[in-house]
Amino acid sequence: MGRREGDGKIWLLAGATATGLGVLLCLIGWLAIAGLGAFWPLSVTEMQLRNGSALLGEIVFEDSGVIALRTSEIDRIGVAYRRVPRIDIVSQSQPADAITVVLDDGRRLFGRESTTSAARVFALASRPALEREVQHVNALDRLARMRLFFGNVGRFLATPPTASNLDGGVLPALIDTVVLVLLMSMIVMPLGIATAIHLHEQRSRSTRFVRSAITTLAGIPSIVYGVLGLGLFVHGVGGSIDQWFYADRLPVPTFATGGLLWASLTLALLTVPVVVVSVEEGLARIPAGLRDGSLALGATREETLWRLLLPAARPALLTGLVLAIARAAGAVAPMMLVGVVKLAPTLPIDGDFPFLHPSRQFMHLGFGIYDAALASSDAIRGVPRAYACAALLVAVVVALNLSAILLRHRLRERYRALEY
Amino acid sequence: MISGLHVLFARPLLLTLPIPNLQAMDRLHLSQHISRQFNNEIEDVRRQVLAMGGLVEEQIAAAMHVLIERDAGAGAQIREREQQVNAAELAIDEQCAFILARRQPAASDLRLVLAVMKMLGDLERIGDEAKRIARIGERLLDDEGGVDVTASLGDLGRCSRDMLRGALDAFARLDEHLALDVMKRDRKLDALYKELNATLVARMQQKPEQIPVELDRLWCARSFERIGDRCKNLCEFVLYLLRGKDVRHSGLAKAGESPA
Amino acid sequence: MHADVALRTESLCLWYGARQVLHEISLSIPALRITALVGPSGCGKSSLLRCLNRLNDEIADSRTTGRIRIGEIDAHAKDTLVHDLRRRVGIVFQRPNPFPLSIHDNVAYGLRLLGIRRRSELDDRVEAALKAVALWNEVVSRLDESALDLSIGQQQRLVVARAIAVEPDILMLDEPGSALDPVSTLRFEELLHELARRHTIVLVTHNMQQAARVSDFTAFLHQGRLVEFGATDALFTNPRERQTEDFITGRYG
Repeated sequence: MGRREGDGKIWLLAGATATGLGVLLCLIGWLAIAGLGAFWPLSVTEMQLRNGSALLGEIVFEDSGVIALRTSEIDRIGVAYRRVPRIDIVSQSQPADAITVVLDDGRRLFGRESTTSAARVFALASRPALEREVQHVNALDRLARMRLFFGNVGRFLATPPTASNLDGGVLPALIDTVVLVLLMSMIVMPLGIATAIHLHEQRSRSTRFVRSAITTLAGIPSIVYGVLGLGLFVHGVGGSIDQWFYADRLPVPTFATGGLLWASLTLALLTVPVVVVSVEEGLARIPAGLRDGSLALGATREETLWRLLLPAARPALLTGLVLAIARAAGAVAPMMLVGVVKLAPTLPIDGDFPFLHPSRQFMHLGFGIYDAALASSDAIRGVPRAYACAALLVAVVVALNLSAILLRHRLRERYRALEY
Repeated sequence: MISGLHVLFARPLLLTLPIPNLQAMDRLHLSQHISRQFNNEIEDVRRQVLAMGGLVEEQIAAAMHVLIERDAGAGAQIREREQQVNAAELAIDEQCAFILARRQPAASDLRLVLAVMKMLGDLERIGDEAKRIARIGERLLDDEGGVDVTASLGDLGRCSRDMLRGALDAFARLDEHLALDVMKRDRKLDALYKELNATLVARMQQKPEQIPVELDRLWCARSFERIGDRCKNLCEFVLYLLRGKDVRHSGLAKAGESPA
Repeated sequence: MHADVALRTESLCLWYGARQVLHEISLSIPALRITALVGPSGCGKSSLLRCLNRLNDEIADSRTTGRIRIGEIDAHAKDTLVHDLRRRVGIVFQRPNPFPLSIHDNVAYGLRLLGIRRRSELDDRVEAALKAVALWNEVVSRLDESALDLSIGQQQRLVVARAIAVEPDILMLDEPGSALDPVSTLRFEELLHELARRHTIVLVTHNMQQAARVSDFTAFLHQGRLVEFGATDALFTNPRERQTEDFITGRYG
């Protein structure tokens, strides 16, 4: 039994697949751990230094030479970090009576109940703020810490951020991201399907041109779409709309600035090629016998399309949608040009008519990652927060994809004979 | 595909070959079937029919030997050959049934099989007539008189034997004209028979004690006449095979008309 | 036009691009009878069918000349609606092509195209069509299941039911037995006899025995030309044309 051709190559392929899967799992795992790690309650440590002073706070970083400690943030958030060389530390302990006072703007103040009271700790804060909660972290057992942990996660998911964007939650960004993706889907699906139908039905030179144009579009970097959106939609169309309909509000722009509508349109343009290719391929896979059968019964071409071909191509339509969502959810760069802001004052959907406000600016999880990681004033808080946003974004995309895939699977069952 | 190439090459050849003989012998393209097996089966059946026809011809010749030349030995041959004729009839019948079942023949193939199956009956009965003639001939071996009537019987016999040969030839060569010709000869045979009939009746009236002998001679004449009729049937089947028109019961004049 | 003729073509010619596929076909299909179209592969039988209900219009570079008259209607007249023509001249293809819908919706597809919306009427006509093809008893309990779950013989009958649900005058079948096993084929042929009571049937087949078994009339086509047309019995015992004889007896190269 000698070696046959392909034996070695199979192992190569398996190895490549395993590597790819491994990297993916590592990525997700890393994001999950790093992201969730941001919410785990930290113990309060008291350090006695060689020079006789004592520090009280949370250890945020340690290596072989130095320990970084977050002390009470009296004035502003994110400036009370102390880097202490290990050689200067005489002793450390976690006193059981340590309390953490968390303010509503995210500042954390530390004290010991034996020496001061929570109220006095609170009073230390120089800027006016409300007290959010008082925690006795060191006294908590594992179960209680878990409860605190879930509480933190819950707050992350369900509350808006603080003014500094360093604490609080990402609820608006989450909502806005989902609304953006949905609005984009509502725009791109009809556009993509219509184009695909046209390409499928017509067989002329013009369609070959259109098809090559679409493949070209698919390769253009996403930020170029952002520039296009800015010039064409924001300034061009938006400016005109403002001139015609909202002239009384000028010079304050209504539509001539970044907003949900322009962002959705830009994303739709970005993902149209993906949808077109997918839908066209789905239509092409339908056996010609089906179309002939429909025509033979007296259907016109339009009736055949609507009653038979498009329903039969539903799995392909969903595939296109899934791919579009995947591409759009990650396209942060164009978003920054056409509507995303760091902190939006309102949500684009609320209870006022017309319930959806497409001219409003919005927040985006992807942008939140950038902002937290690179543009925040407190890197020590920002980086874990970026991981948390990234993990959440991945979770959102996976959830959207999975639901579409499940739906497509159910539909595939119905149309499975077309898969031969 | 090979048969397609065959047609491609055969067509120019067919144009250059001298037409008449090839066409005359194979007017229905009987030998060009795509299935060689089927070809062989059809050829086989034709051959067997002609062989059986040959046997029956010999039966007639032998019967005439007994009757005309008073050759007693020929009678035994007849009885032997009779068995061969019967065996041939059964074999050909069976072969035809197989062809029908296996090949579902159509058009000329179908007509060939049907014609053969019908011809078998007539051939077999011609054989029976020959046997009857021989038996009567054996009874008349000792009668020395009636030389002239015996000669007339000989004429009758030769005529019928020629008709059989003509019918078999017409079948072998698929010759329409020959078949019609043989059918016309039946008139001549009938005339000869009527004449002989009258002569024998007159002789019976003249010498009543010879009536058994003359009756026997009459039966022989009758048998020859029936052989002629059967040969006419054979030709009608040949015409059916060739033309697809059933000419039975339609009279010689209509049969002679070219196909519509 | 003679009342017994369901469809007549007059000097029908068909081109696919520069290639002429049908030459001067003049054929009269008798009404309420089964007519078989036979001939070697590539002789244009299927193309002829596609002409009769103008399915060839869907092929970009096909061109037709000559006339096709179905009843009183000229198939190529300016005011003839193609989809109405196709309703009257139904076609069943070689391979069954049920839609990826339920059994009921397959049969009702053509009815819905006609604008019939009332559920009761749809159900009645679906039932009638399925009974006409002897499929009703087998599927009555699973009308809402996918048609793709049926066996191939059942699918072929379903497709016929779908075609006759819209009550066509003429039903054309393109080699309908070629995808079926012999028993299913024979059952299908029985079905054709039943259907011929109410529809004119045109059957394309390359199986001579099937043509002989099933049809009342046979047309023999060769290289796009109509060589002979006549009653099946006569054509199969005594064809007029040498070409027909050669083909039927298998002496065609």
